[in-house]
Amino acid sequence: MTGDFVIKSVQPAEEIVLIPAGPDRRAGFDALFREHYPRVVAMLARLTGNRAQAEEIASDVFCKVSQRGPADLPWIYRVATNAGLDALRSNARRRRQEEAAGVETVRSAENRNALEEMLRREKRDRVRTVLGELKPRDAQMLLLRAEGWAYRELAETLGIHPGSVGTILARAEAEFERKFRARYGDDV
Amino acid sequence: MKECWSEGDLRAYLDRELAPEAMERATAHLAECSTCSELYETISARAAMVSGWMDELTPLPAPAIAPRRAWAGWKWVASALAAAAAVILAIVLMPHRAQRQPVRPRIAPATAVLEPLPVEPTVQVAAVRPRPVRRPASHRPAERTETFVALDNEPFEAGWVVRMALGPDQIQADVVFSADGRARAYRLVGNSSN
Repeated sequence: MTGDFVIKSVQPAEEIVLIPAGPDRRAGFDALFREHYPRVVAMLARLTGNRAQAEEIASDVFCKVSQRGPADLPWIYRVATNAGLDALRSNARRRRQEEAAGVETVRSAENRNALEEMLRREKRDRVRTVLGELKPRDAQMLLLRAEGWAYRELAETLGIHPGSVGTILARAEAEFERKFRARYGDDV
Repeated sequence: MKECWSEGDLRAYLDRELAPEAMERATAHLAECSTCSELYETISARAAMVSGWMDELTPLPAPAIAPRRAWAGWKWVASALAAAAAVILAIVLMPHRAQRQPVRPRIAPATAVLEPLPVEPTVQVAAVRPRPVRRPASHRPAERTETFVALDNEPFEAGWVVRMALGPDQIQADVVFSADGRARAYRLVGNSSN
């Protein structure tokens, strides 16, 4: 059956998707996904306050990772944080539009729970607004530290020297406080 | 007085992230240096405040199951590469057909062999989940399983399947071409090989 084949007809049959057989790359991506997908989602959920949106962004990021080949952690977290900050800003914009249009539902100040909830939400919105104004790396640092990450993990994930974590964290906190006070005064 | 500690080191000290020996030295230094202890107080107060703000953003529970959606990216790669491969194939094949000349598949000689390979290849063709590659039985009727036989052991990610009638017996086969135009895998279709 070798040689001298004649192609009598050609027609596209179907499009296929192949999973690369190379065990290293596949296994590498799987391990990366298993360990870091939940962490990226947790970080983004904290940032945006919206689990579904966080998962959507994280999925897009890991999609890019799968296309990009060997991915480095700093890249993943940088892209995820930037996307999260973008989402944060567009969420805030949409909320303002909704409030302007009278969509706001919690209006009853007589209801104590509703009032508390409103105040808490306002506080959360303030924190998110200030986070959105920080440099992405500073926002990342605060978010991941709030998730309880150790300095060694922070250094590896953000691509910085372990000895620099304390310095960057201290500066990020100082910057957060400065921006918060500049925007909302001493009402902390 | 010994050398003072930097803001970053004091922040790490607050989180107990300095090496044990450095933790001891910092403790001793803070006890005797008012400048550093004031700085340390400032740093800890700010850290507590920022931590309180961040805690307002209540963390949500971790997802129980990671979605499969992340793999959707392969489809885009496949679409792009497959389209490119199809264009190349069309350009390569059409002039020959017009001249009614026998056309050899544009593949390396080794890849045109349709005999089962002595060694079971490792390329997996699976859109949904990996599955061991099986050798096709030529007498088996047409079936739409996702089982191809790889023509080499080189992994590839995306390709284009073209149905062809091969040889004087016009054996129907689906041949997978990778983006570089090489035939990489095949499966026989139908019962026309007798």
